[in-house]
Amino acid sequence: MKLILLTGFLGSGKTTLLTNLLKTYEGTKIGVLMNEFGETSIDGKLIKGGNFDLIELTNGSIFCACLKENFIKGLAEFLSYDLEIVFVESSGVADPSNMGTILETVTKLAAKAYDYAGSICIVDGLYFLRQFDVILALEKQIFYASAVIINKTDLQTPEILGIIEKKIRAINHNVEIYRAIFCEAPIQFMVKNMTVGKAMNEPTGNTWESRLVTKILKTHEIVDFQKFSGFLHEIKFSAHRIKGFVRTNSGNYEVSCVNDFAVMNPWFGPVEKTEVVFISSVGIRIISDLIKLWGKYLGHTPFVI
Amino acid sequence: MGKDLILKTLRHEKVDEVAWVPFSGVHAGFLKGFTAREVLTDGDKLFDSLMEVHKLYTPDGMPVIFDLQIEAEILGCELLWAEDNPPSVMTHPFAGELKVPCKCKIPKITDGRIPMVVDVMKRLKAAVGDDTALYGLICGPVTLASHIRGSEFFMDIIMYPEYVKELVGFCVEVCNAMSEYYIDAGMDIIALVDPLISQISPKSIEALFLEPFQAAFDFIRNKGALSSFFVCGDATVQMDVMCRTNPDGISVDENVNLVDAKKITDKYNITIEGNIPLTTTMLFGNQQDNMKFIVDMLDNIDHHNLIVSPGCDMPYYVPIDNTVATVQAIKQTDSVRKMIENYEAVDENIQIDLPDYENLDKPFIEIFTLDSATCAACTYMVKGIMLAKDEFGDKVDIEEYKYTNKNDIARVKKMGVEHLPSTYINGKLQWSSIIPGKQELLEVVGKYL
Repeated sequence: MKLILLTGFLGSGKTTLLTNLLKTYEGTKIGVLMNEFGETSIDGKLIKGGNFDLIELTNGSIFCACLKENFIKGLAEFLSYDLEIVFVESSGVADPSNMGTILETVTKLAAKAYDYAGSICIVDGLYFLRQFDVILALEKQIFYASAVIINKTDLQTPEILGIIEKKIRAINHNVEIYRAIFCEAPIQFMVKNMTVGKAMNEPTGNTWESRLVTKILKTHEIVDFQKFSGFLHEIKFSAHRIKGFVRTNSGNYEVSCVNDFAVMNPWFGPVEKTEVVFISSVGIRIISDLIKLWGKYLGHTPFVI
Repeated sequence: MGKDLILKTLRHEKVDEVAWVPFSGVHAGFLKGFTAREVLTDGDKLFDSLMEVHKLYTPDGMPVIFDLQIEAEILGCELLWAEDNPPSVMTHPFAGELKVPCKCKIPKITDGRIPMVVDVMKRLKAAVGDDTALYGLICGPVTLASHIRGSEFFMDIIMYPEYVKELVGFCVEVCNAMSEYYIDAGMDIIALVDPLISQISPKSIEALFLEPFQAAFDFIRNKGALSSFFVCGDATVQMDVMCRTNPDGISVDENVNLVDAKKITDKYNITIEGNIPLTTTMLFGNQQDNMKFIVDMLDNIDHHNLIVSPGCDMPYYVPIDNTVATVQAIKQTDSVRKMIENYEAVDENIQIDLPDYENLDKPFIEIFTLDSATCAACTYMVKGIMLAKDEFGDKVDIEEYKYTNKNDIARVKKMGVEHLPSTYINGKLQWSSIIPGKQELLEVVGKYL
């Protein structure tokens, strides 16, 4: 059973790549293990409906001690299914340095082993240079990658893309680099040519350095679209990533922000309540910012964080 | 009604009476003959003791439990229990490791002593919650961070500020979880009790802790409760930055001049709470001493935005009649003023012989504390200074003097110690209310060798 790990910072396009992979491998027996840093799974909702097995692990990184056990159990469980490929979509701040140790434990637990093909790292073409100096896990994600996709190339100048490529090469000299828009890359070719994955037994950096404050905002109220939009366009400056679903007076929307790039797309699936995950770029201050800006735009509309 | 008086005072509304909150933590147990350990671990004994506080001291507001170690215990600190004091933290899970606990370690409502505390809160709310404002006390994020890291935390502030921000950020998430449990259990006010703040420079507080505290107080307000920031020790220079964390109230102890501090809190429209001297007046004074302190205080300070309370957690053995006298002086100030107009406090004449500091065999380090077993700021001052013992062994002598002991109080007076905790070397003041980092400590002590 082939195992492929997908890494990349928050909002770089991992879920988009996964959706493309699922389309490409339609008819193949697939297992997907999704990991989100927030307390609620948003990405799971986005890909649901396909014909594949799904395990979701939330509220931490699968490489950190708190979720590692569940990650190992999840991988071991998939080995007992009749699957051909298992994709692991890791959280945006995952440091996969200890993947080797994890796979050894899985083998012991399941008495079977994966054919680990390596990891595909998605790099955010628009924001990579800004993120790189702040998020230590990015260097590790690139270092352990068998293939790198520079995504969102349509939003970036060729000069900057060249700088990004150079930076990637400096970390991982032989890695295959693909440029893409909406993660449209020659997937089958890429997967076939992935060199055997580096699965090291280094201690992961998923400790304090990579901890990001995550808050989830929930409300049962239907909010005013314009007001919520105003709120979103101001709170986005306090977050690396915002994602979720919102019920407004003009219908349901899927919300997605990466740094200051925010979109609200109409969503036609069911949404029980408004639930939005904020991954802070201002540390614990996100709590004060959320309370202040919610009050500014949505007044006394009740909500919890 | 008492509760309204507290709520209005903390909302900065005009009131025609001064509010009174006895911080009867372990002292509540004393009223019923229970030990400190019993009231901090046994819900029934705690509840009975609190009902006794309510009956005897007719408070406008009261805390349910005063123990800054509840969260630390859940996070893996070992505690040293005492029968007449709250427990103190003995070990620090991340001593020697620059790590932040995983988010999965944030205490759950089922962890440690939280279920007992929450149950008593609900019972007390049902019994007296209509007429008495209830305080839920939480270990503040900076003190909690030092419980987790130990005395290295003070070095971290200098050497690893980014790490400190992460660690304190985690501690704020712990505070928020605790606030949520306590507010849901009926607490009207959540107090973050952070004694260590008085030991950190305003500049460092501004850079590292201002936003974390703001986030914690914003969270409490957003949950519909009022907030208070408790500090102990000499927090005079920290008052301004504490105000900017935006609590509804700030509580200080006898180390702070209440009249001067109130000028600062008034500027920010924050209610001030304090500051009956715990030991000299409440524990070792008599009824007249307590009455006189209150009358003098109320005669010299504007009553708007004011709550009278002990400076911090009351000592276990405070004579009941002293507190009763305090209540009377707060509520019947005019008649009490007449009762004590000719009273002059008697100073006990205890003779203290100081060493000949000029001719010592080796450096003599003296630490003057409120009591390192009960005051977290003092605990870390003593732990911090004791690092000199680890380094220099028998080449230095170190002694702690506690303000809970009459002989030591006499020594404090004779030495002219102005603020507690303070550290003297060879009779000279070295650190007043600031805990030195290890490097600074060793450099300074090294010069005396």
